[in-house]
Amino acid sequence: MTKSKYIFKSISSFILIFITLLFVACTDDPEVNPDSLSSDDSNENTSGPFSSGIFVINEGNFGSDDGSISFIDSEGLVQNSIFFEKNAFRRLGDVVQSMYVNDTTAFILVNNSNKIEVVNIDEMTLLHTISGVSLPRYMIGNGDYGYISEWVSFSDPGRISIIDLVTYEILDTINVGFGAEALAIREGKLYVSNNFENTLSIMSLSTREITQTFSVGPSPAAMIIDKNDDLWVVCSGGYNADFSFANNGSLVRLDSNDEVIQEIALGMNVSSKLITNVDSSVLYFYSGTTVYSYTVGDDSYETFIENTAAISFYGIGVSPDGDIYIGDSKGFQSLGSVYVYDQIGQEKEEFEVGRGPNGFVFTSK
Amino acid sequence: MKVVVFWMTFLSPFILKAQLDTVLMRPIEVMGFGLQSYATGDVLRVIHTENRMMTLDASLFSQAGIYMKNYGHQQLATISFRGTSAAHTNVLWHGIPVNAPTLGSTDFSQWNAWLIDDVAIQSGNQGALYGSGSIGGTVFIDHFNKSRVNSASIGFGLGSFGYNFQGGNAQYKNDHFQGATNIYREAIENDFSYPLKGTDLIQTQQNAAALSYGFRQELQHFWKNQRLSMDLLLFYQHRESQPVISQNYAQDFIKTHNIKSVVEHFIDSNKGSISTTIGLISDQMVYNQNPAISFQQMTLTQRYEYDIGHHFHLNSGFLINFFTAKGSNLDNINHQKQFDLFLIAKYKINTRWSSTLGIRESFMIDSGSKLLPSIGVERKRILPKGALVSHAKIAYGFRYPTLNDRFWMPGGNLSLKPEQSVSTDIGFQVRYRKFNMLINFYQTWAQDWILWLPQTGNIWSPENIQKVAISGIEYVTGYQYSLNENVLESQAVFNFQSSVNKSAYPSQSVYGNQLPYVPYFTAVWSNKLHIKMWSISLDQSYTSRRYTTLDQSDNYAAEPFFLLDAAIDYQLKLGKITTQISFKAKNIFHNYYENIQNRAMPGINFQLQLITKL
Repeated sequence: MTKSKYIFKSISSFILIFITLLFVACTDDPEVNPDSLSSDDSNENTSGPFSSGIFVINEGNFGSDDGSISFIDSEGLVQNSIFFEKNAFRRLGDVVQSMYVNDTTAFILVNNSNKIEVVNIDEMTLLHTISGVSLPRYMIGNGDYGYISEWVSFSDPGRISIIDLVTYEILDTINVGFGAEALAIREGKLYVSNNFENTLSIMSLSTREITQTFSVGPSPAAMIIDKNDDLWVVCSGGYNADFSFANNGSLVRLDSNDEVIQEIALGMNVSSKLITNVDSSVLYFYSGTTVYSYTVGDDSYETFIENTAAISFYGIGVSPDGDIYIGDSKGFQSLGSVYVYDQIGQEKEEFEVGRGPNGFVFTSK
Repeated sequence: MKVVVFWMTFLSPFILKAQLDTVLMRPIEVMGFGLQSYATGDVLRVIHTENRMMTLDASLFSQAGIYMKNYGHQQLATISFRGTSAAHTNVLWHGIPVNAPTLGSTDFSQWNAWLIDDVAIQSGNQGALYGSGSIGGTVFIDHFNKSRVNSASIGFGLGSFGYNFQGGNAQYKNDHFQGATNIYREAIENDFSYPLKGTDLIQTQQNAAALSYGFRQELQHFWKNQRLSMDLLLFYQHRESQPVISQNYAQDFIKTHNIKSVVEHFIDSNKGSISTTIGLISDQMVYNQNPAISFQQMTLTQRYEYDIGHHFHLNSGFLINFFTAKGSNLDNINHQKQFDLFLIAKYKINTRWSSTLGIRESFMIDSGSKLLPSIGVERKRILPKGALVSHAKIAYGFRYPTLNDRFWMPGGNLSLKPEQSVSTDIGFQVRYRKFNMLINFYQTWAQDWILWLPQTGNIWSPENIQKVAISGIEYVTGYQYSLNENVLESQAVFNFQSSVNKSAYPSQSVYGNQLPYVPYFTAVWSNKLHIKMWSISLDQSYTSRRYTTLDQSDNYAAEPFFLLDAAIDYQLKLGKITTQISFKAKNIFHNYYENIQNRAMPGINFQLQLITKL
């Protein structure tokens, strides 16, 4: 049934009820309420191309189907729910996990909806929907191919799906460890952190075979490559038998031969996120509402940002100009916030975004 | 004491039925404690559910003053009162608390009305009388205070979306014995179509089928001044878990088994009446292929009622509750032990004034204790052909943390305190033979409400963090008009409720905002016309917008909805056989609505029901 028919039926219903039953004079029609059509009227004038600015990935509340994408333009104006607005009010889905940009195309991985929405990044208009993925987490590209990590389930091994970046067709799937999480590419090899076990898998991009799987630390997650071309993986830490924190998170460093050459015990459990500054010389990670920094080559880390007013840091990113963006989920009780800090950790700005901001994508013209 | 229960005067302040399916006014001479509004001014509404082919949430959906949260059609359904949550509603079956100790709430979609005689609902803080969780209101499912007749009936139902129902029941009695046996099977494909929000697309609901079976056996033996009763309930349900609208292809499911049994002994003497009740509950839930989560509960409660002179009526007793749960995330939990003592004293000052004083002391091992006083006063003024009753009450309430709150691994918090609240009520009732009106104003202040919050490492943990202030107005009016043998019954109920966050969490900007999923306004208008063997019903309900976040973001709001349901019934009598034929049409205007954000509910749908009674 079309929307117009619904509106007609709704209007008819109200007229009938008002006249005959004198009852529902104060009712609203959910289908014609203009409030439901616009997220924030004050931001209507800011809509436009999304070729330069910051995309905020808002995970949404699990099971509520309310994941979204926000956009902060170069003037600092925020547009929320841009996918919804630009695609005829199509819902993005449940638990928006991450977004990967390849040239002018963005891939939005929607974890609990088991899909990837492919959009034109300038307009945020939908190009294609990739189904056939199962609890997708992250994506990385190399040449003509995209690599997608998938949890699959909590009781099956994770996998990597390889897609054609032009046709979006899934070409191949390769099983890895349980809880296939973050991805990194270095020298023809794809690195996969297996979050439910304590391992890292390495796949040859040329043969698409797992060449090596080895233990790192408990709950391995995000990976980055530093200025020396060494690969770092953050291990969030494990749990004791009573599920209290084991406080054994760590940063693990692999050289170009994939040998573990350094392990920095953090003495606490940390989040699954890890980023670097612009020149890849400093690593940032966080626990609670405190961000820590580690300068490559040092023996220990330092406290970098403490925000006692924040509720729960949920995502982190570094912009091309070096500013640090942090998402606060606000306990999923309200809309999330994004705090912006400069390179010495001074807060510069704060934005209100969607629910559960968990990551950032920075684009420029 | 042979209690003569005049239902309409005792259980409801309304001369009209509180709901059009409530029981008719007729004296039933039975032995036992009736449901009574012990705190002066409290309103009990009884919904007669016998021979109803529907889940209990559907039976209660149109009741004013409650908000039923349905996670889809025939899916998980919880009840809440007066701006609180489902965990602030105490549910009692034969006086035994039956909220799942893991979640602290009851899924009403797992109860089928076919196995139940009646349900009573009571808004307001009843902590002194009913204990933990009676903050927003209390739901009473069945009690032994009813009389059986020798009869048998079978029922069949067919309806939209592959709905079908088969049920049977038998009642039997002699001088010293009575009993009832009920059995049913209900199934629905639930493949309804709905317009996909914001698009011109029509989507057919997937993965929402439900199948359930149930059995009930009640037996009662009477001798001299005593009664021994037992009731056994068995439910099984296999339900696909209806997904949110954008992931229509999900394939999650839930299987539940529920075993509930109760034995009650009642003795009546000139020194008072004593009921002693033992309840055993064993429930299990399996979600997808995950290990089962189960819980067991054993409850012993005793209640002693007696009169002192003509002015004092005392109701006292105790409750002992043992319960535990088991699951992959709830391992090695010792039996939780709860012990409550209560005393309710009602003093009739004169023919106009009466007052009630209640006090309850509740102890929970490792969770502390709470003292809960309440006091109420009522004044009755006789009017020409009617009465005006005014009342006021102040009461304390509380709720213990659930087993999940305390023991869930990871994240459970053993240091949680009980939630606390204090409530005030003031109200007026006007009663005439064919007209009644009630208006009630209430306020509740609550603190230490428990919220689950994300912690480091993607772990969530509960904390006593929220303060809430609730205020509201309930307005009920009913009218009955008779012409010859034809009767028109009408009732309208309006509720306004403000339930606001009074803590600066998660930010100062949300201080003073309405809590998620609490509608500001709800209304129900029910009409029923009886014409000889026919009856025609028309029920309308309206639920206002509900925010799902504390900042009241419109983007995350569930929109208001209006529903119109109609039914036509015909009773056919052939000798001793009575057959009732019912045709129901629900959501006649085919409005798309969501009870929970992004969970579709069906448009217009129909049911044909046939019940033959011998």
